[in-house]
Amino acid sequence: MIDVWRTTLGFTATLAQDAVHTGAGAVGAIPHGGGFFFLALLLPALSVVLCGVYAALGVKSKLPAWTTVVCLTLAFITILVGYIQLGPDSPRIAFGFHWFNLSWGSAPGQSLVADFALYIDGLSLLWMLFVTGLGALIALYSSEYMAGDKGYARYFAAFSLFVFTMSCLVLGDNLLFMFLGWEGVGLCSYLLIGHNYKKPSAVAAAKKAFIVNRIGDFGLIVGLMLTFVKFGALRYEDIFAQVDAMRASGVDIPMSIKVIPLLFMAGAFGKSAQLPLYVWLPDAMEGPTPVSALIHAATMVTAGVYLIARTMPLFTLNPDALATVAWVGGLTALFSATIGMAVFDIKRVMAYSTVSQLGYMFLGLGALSASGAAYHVFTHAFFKASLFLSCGAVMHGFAGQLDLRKLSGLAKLPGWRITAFTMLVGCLCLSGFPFTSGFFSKDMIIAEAFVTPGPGYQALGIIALITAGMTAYYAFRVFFRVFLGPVEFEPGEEYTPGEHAHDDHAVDDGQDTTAHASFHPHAPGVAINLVLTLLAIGALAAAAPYFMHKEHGGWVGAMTHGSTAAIAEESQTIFTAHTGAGAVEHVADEETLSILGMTVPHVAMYFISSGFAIVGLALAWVLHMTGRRSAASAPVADALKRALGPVGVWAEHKWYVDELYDWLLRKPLRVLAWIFAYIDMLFVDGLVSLAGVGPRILGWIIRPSQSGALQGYAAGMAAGMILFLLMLWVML
Amino acid sequence: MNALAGSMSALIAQSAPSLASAADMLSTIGLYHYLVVACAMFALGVIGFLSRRNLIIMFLCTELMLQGASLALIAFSRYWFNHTGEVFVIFVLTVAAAEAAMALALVVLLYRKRETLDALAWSSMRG
Amino acid sequence: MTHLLSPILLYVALSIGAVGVFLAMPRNGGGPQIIGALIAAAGGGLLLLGLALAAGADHPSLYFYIFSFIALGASLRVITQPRPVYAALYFILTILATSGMFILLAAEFLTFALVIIYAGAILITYLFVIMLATEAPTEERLESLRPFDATSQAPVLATLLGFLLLGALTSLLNVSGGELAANNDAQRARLVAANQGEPAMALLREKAKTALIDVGFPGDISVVAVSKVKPYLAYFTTADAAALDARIAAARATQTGAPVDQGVESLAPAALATLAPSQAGYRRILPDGRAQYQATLPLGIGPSNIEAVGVGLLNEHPLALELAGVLLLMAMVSAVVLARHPVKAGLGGRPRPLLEDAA
Repeated sequence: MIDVWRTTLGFTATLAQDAVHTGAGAVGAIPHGGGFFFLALLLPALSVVLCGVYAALGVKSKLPAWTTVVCLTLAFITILVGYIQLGPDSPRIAFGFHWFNLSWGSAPGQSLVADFALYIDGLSLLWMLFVTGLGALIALYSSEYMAGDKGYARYFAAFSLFVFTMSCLVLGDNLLFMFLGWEGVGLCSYLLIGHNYKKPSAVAAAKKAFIVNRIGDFGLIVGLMLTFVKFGALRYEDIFAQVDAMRASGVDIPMSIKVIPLLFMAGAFGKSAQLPLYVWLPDAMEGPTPVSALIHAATMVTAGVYLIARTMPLFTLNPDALATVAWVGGLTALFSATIGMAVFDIKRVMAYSTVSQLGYMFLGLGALSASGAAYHVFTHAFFKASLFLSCGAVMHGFAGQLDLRKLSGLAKLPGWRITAFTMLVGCLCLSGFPFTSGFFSKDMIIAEAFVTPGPGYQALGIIALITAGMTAYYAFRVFFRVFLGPVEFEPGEEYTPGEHAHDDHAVDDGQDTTAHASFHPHAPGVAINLVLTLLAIGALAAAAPYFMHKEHGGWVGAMTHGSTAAIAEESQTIFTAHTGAGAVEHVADEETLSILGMTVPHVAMYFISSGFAIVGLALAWVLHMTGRRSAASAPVADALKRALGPVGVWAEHKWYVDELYDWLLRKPLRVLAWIFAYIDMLFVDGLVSLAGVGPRILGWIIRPSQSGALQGYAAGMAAGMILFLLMLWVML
Repeated sequence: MNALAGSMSALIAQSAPSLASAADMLSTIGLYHYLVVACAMFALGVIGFLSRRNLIIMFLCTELMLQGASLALIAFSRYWFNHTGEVFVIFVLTVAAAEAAMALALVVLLYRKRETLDALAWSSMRG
Repeated sequence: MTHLLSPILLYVALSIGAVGVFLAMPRNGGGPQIIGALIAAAGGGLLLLGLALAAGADHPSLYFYIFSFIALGASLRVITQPRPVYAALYFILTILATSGMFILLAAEFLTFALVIIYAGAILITYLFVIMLATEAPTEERLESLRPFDATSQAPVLATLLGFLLLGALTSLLNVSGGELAANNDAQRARLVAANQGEPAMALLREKAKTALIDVGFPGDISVVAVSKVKPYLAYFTTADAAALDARIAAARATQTGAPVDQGVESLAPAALATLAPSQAGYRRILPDGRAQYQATLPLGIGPSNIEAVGVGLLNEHPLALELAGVLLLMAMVSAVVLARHPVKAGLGGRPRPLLEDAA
């Protein structure tokens, strides 16, 4: 099979970029191969088709779920086999078929080549591993979670389509193919958020997600076009070869090229929910929880991080872009953490937590630690997925109840221990508790922030530390309120009294003190528990790669080392060349860091960040566990909130950002629309009516001539004759 | 009588360059005299046709127009020294007679229908 | 651009005439008709005066002005007279005036034709129909003047259109006539002369021959041409030129008292008198050897108007003549058919009116 693909090489000869192709650089001429990676694309595509057929045929069993799980598992196996075979250090290009292959001249920049070809290196392998892996696991979770849903097959069709388009995004070897996947995941996000299309809030959330993404996509599209105009190519190897040549020659980079990373950044911020385009992510929680777990925690939102990591050579041309990325990431992390501390819906808390952690990833990229960012992506995928799925289990079991003022002490209920355990594991990883995977990945990023000699990175590091504390606080706020304390629960909106469909799972507990005496929570079943367990194990095990391949900063570092993102860590003079400061070397894993003017050994970083995490945890315990007798109120927390006064209320209302956008954008647009409606009515319709009025006026003028009066006609004849004579007279 | 005789002989008058005689030929301005009168009669006929409502009088004004035309034809015939115009006027007379017969027959019929000679009695189109 | 008549004068006269005609229109049986007529007359008079002055020496005779004045005045009365019978009578006056102008133009046949046919036949028909279609006056209403007769309809529009038409026509003719007159009238005469048709010339030659024989010339002469120069000369040849020469010589000798050869009969003195005045110039030798004589024709030799018109009609437009006859026949038949009352059929036929009710 590999030979079959290999023999379809055609594009080398058709390219006009060969001259650039052979330039020496960090990324040299890339060999071809790995054609069987197309299976990772074909299998989800097959699942889409089959699930579509099932939806059309109205299949009622769990067949769509099994089809999807099988296909995604096979895709994961394919990636695993490929990884084992190739390893992270040998990038490959696998050519599928020609897609755009236009050429109107032989000079460079006069051909447009964007083929269905895969670019396989460490970065894309890393991403594909957890995309397909988590995809398979969450498909398994969904098979039980979505049972009884009317759109079962439709859900899995959209789910598989998502995995397919995410693979296109990650594996594509040119910007256009990547963009195809980019738009595809946006589409699938829309389809899946709006899965319950009869619910108006879900539909509104889906539209919001798509439209806000679009705003970012506009920047991405312009960046893409500018790339083509400036570099004459859309394929990564061609662009990066030119970039390397440009950097090696030391010429001044023109402004038009420096703008490209900024535009890509806009797209990344839209897709990965950073300031100011993050508003869609909390609302996206209207979709089913597995969707939130897979798309809005682990995979789609990391597409922005992937984009920047992939196009890192372009970013290194413009250090200001890197600084912007870092600052936006850091500020987003802080901002959304403050909101996460105040909202009551546990899924919303997790959503804001996702936004915050994505901010960390961008901070990592901006601090030139692509490996740190990628590692955080990797660990975050596991623990955030497990957090979301635990919340999903709670929601599933308590008929849609997610308010932490209405749930308490669930860990003590039988059948809920696994859920509580996975939740605890997730919260520990999220907070960066020592020796958890989140701890190591966050530490890498924060350490890099203190080391990078760019503008204000020290401040960013401090912001990151404070945010780590806040993260620990809100994570354990959720855990302590929902799973510990007195047992108390209320069903959510989906509960209709009189329905005893969950009787077989009902558990008789004498501690039921709710008003709905007949409600019995539905403890999670085998599929959910299995997936939760696997994810928890994975979250804990994700710490292990930190210790492998230490020379590259961990296994993830090894993966990124062989990719285009490696440019970040290998180039030591990016910021110094730009700022002209002293030649401070930027080396990963440096022995000493400089914090607030003090020189601190790197090892101390571990203690400092764990300190912040433990402080946050303790704060959560104090505020939410001490003296709490019921689910609805924790006396210390409520007192603090009252003391904060209006600030607390603002935080609870998400700092009124949505309302701000409404006033800033929606209302002016409505006014504009109203104006245009009037213009349309008056002028456009008026013109059309005028066209209708014209013949009537003409008729009104002409009609009297048809009066039937004999002399009228004679007069007409006489008039005609006069005119004729006048004409003759004039001509003479 | 002398003038008459002179006019008659002018019909076969031919002139050498030295013998052009005003009495024998109708000059252009002389022609114009007759034409002005003919046009005036024609125009008066038009005015009468447009301003009268009695059907018979309207046809009479038509005849007046034909008179004007005949006068113009005869004048031109004199001007160009041939008899074509006069021959034409014979036909004009013929046609006028035929037309008068037809018109009057129709007017009689119309009068029988509406008991009036008013032209506006026959305008039933709503303008 | 040369004009025959000053345009300003033309337009002023027409404007005055328009005002006059407008005022002369009947309004409910009354109105300022007399004043209107006077003003119209003033306008017309101004126009004719202007024409006369423009013509200078070329003006037509006085009778023209009289006849034209009468004609225009009568036409005006035709269109402004509320009573139909009077209008018809005024029309007859117009015809008479027009025929007078025809005589001035030396078309006497048409003068008589016009009077006989138009005034004598067509207008009488009109009068009959008017009387047929008018109710007789009763005791209460002596004046049976219909309202549609009493008031003119749309006088402004009619006058305006009519005088615009008149203005356009006369201006056009003004300009084109001016350009025509700019050419020498003499040239026109030569062109005109060439227009004489051959049948007329043959007739003319016949008449010349008859006239010469009447005067005394021998009968075997043949007229070759009639001169185009005044005094009107006829050119003729003879079969026996020598005998004619002898007779001419004998006649001359008799006149002058010279000895006469008794064997030769002399030419009649009247014929001798018509020969060309110059002794030597009365004959010349043609290239083919024949002798050509020339003699002055007596007056009145040319074809009369009726002859000329007849020749023209029958020689040049025979088809049109036949068609005119057919036309007249059709008109007569159709008039009879149209004006028929519906006939009650005898056996099984339905009375069918000829003109369906057009309502």
